[in-house]
Amino acid sequence: MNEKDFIEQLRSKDEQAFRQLVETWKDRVFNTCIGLLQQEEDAEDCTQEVFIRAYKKIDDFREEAAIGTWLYRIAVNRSLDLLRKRNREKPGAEWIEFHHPGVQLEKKQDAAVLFRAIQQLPENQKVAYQLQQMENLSQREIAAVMELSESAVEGLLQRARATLRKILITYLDKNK
Amino acid sequence: MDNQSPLNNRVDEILNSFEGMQSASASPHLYTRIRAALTEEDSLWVRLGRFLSTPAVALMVSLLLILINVWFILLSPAANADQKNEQLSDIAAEYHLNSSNLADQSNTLP
Repeated sequence: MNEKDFIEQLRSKDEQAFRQLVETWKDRVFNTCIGLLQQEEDAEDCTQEVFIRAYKKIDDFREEAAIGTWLYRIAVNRSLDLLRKRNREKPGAEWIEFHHPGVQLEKKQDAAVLFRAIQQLPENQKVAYQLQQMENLSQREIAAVMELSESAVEGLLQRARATLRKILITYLDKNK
Repeated sequence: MDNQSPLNNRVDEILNSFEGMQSASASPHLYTRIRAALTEEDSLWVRLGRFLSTPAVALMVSLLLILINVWFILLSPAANADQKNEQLSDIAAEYHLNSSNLADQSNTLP
């Protein structure tokens, strides 16, 4: 079945098609949410909300984008909304060390430090960096998700790496 | 520069710590949870609650409740209180039950 037929089935609220959408994309959506939110429970709720939104808003889906791109976009937007809400409700809350379940055991501590540094990046840089590093998306795919040009994404990624380097040097200097 | 090298290497190590990372897996029961949430959202009570909580409807309902209250107040026995008080005063006067009259009467005693 091609994607167009699949979308048509989703639009007609076909249960099998919706189940297939969830089963195919749930891990990638969850991985995006958990990377940005850095909390497993919030990421589960976020993933659920992404698919509920997709179910309800499938008529808004413009077919010039791939369905995966659209799902990534919803996941990123929902995660950023939750992050903003969290910051509003608990500004300056103490950072809780996050251990991503997929990180290799010997790199767990370094990855936790990196996650902490990523949290300090501006939103756009954070999203671009995480989609590249955690989802292995190409610059073109990231540009489609973020609705930016490829050169803009390239700039964001360069700035993200430079900022992370500065944050990490400061962190290592403090923790000598 | 010699001092910076180990630091830069350490930074590189941290930056590369995502290498070989596996994707996190969502709950195997996610689809069931989503279906349950969608069914719940479709239920009559949830839809009614959502409808009532929209600002325009909530405002109209509040205004309606205020108008009903005002209507009841205007129709309540208190509105006829003056007329009833008048009737009671007439009866009291007829039977000399007025307290001031009683006081006057007692003043006339030796």
